[in-house]
Amino acid sequence: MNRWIPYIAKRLFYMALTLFIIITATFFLMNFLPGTPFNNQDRLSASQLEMLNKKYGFDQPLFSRYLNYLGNILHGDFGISLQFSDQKITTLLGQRMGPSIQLGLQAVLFGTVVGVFLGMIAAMHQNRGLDVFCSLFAITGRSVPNFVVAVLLQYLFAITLKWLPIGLWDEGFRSTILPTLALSISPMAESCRFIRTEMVEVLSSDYIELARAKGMSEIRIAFSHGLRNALIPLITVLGPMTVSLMTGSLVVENIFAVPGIGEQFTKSILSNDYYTIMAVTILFSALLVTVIFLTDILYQLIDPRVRVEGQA
Amino acid sequence: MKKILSLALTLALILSLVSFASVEEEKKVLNWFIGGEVTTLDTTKTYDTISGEAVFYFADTLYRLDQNADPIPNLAVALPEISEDGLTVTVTIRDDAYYANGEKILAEDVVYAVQRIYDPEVASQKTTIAPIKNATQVRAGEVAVEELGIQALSDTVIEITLEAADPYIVKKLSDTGFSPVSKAFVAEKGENYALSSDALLGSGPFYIDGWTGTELSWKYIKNPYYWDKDNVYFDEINVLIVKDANTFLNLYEAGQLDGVSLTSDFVPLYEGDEALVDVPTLRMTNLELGINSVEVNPDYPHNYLQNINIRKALLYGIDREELVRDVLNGTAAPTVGIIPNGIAASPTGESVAESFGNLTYFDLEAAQNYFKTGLEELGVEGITLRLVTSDTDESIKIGTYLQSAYQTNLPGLTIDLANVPSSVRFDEMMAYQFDLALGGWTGEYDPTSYPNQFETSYAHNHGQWKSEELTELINKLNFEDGTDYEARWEHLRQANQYLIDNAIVVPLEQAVKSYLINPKLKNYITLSLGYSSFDLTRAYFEE
Repeated sequence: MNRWIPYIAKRLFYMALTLFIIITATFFLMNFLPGTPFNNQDRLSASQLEMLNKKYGFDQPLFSRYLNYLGNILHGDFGISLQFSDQKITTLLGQRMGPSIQLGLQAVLFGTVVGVFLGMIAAMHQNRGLDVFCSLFAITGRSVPNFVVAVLLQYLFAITLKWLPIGLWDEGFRSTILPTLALSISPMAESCRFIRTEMVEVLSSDYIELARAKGMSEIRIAFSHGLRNALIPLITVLGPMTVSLMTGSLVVENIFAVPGIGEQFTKSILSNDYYTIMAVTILFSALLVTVIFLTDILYQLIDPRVRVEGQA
Repeated sequence: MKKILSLALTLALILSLVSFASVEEEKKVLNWFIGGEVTTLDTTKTYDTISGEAVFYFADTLYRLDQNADPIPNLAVALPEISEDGLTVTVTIRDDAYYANGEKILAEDVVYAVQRIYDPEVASQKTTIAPIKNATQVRAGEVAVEELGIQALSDTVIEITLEAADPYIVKKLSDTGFSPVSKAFVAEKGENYALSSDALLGSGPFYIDGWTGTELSWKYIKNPYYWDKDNVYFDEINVLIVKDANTFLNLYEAGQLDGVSLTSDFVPLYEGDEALVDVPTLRMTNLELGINSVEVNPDYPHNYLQNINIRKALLYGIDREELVRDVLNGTAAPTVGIIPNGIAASPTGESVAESFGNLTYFDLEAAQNYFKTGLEELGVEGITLRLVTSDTDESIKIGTYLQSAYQTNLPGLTIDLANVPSSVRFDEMMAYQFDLALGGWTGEYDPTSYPNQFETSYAHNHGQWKSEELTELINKLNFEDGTDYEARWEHLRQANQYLIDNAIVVPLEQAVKSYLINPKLKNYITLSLGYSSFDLTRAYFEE
């Protein structure tokens, strides 16, 4: 166990360093964006612009603004959004992140479970009808954008069959079903494809042949030997995918009128909402480096081929 | 005994629930929409139509505009008294007006609201709504906010001092910028004022509930203390921000919304439907000409747009009817000049189009002749102009149309199209170095703001056209003609004519917003002036 401590400490240090570099680069780069962060810049008078720059500190030299910003975020102050008149960024993101995270996790969970199941079926019926069906599904799922799926689902289940709400976030779990389904297509297709490829390889290896020879049932072979080994590479892909789904999807959230964070990612950049740009970048990067870190740890725990230096 | 008692209690509970449910059923609810994310609900800071609409429900205005845009007294008891020189405007407000917390509305609350607009500490992005005395100096921090030309003479009388007489002052007083704001309430909420519904105090027919600052849906609930509550029909107005036009429409079709705004793609589907309502706006879309880019930057590659014949070719070489019909699906009207129809009427009650005539017509032959002459004068066979537009769907559509129409109509002209983020487009225009840019302007109450865009000293005079003649006209409009409406209208006509005669800008279309509105909804007012498109405060459902 002791061997883990220096490893984790080293990784944590690199995570902090990565975040610091991202924050610094983003802060300076975004200041080169054309335009001002003020929505109605096309009608502000020169004196008004000066007054606003002074109020929000944009009249200060860039480097001192950077130092101030670093100081503030260390105190948990991420500034205010200039697009949402002076709302605190922490409030803004806090309120909008919940739905996005919920949808992202649900989509990854549902998508992976179904995808793994389909992948297994495909591998077990390699080159037969079911395999063709599953592979076709995986290719379609990866090629069709999720907003097309979203519109189709909305039309079918909400408008024609009237089983589920058209959109909005006011019917609890029911409101989450269609957006979750739309978002889950991508992880579903991805994991189906992965598991099939991995399992086809695993199922043709010698130790599986041995298991078969010993009279083990196909289902048992698939679950206890095939799946276990095939899951490992999937973890690598799932981590970043979870982060990207948790941080919201602009189009799917708009189609289902979900009060999520997806739009803030693009809108803040287009409208030069400096502090929101910084906050969403920090959020996304922090989640990503954390997930990568956890994936690495997980890898070491489940795959005996990967071990922390010094471990037997 | 216990059993009987518990039975009786259960029965009472069920009965009360049933009666509560029946009360609930009687609640009159309107399910409405808000066009996008609100930037602020602080009435002293709102500067866009979305926020303007969102505050309209809970902020009582001194005057309301009727369907003909004529002001009618609202929080004010009568039309204001205006001194002979037009510089002093006295408004008396109702003695029986209360906020949603039961607190009385006083004249000083209106004064405080207007002071907030100009107070540099508040840093409002709202533009100047009226030529109030010392407004510029207060905003620049040169004089104290108390020096602003507005004061309360008593609990009900407000006196506004203007820098110049303003013939549109009464209409401007219908703006929510003049809605009362309680100083005590603002002080109590401190930094959090207007950041959530708990930190907002309704003065109008409704108060806001369930808005946390970033919500996509919330409610307006009838203000029990409102002076005119008997004429307010709805108990609740639920509003919703839906960003996807298709979802919006689906919700309307499913009966979950009583109104939706339509994008131009959907308008043809509802042609002739009784639910389709068109509201003309004051939004003008113009092709702006970088006339003097070469004066600003001597290295600028050409001076083509300094040639008046080239500019006139662009002015007359575009078929606005076709643009509006085929590209914008009728969600716009062709322009008639640089001033939009509907913003004001002539002294004899004529519209802008009737009074000034249509100056921006399509004349292919004339345009081609102008272009030919222009090319000869420049000594070139053909020219290439770069057209910069924003990357929004509509801008791209208009840009592509202009490119194809001009290249067809004016042989020898090549248009390079650049669809860029709006901040990039804006930066190019503010650097005063561009060929052509798709821009526009939305005025509020006074038509002068339209010719003022091209006035020599104006910061947003993108083409950098310099003209003493125009400056003189604008000065007359702003500072001299306030009490002589006939002279003012004549100077407006001259400014409009001047800008067209010199082809300083190519006006293209005046936007029309299309909505689907539940045909049972009556007595609502559609507004072209100001920041809100609707006044729903006295609307009701026909039984």
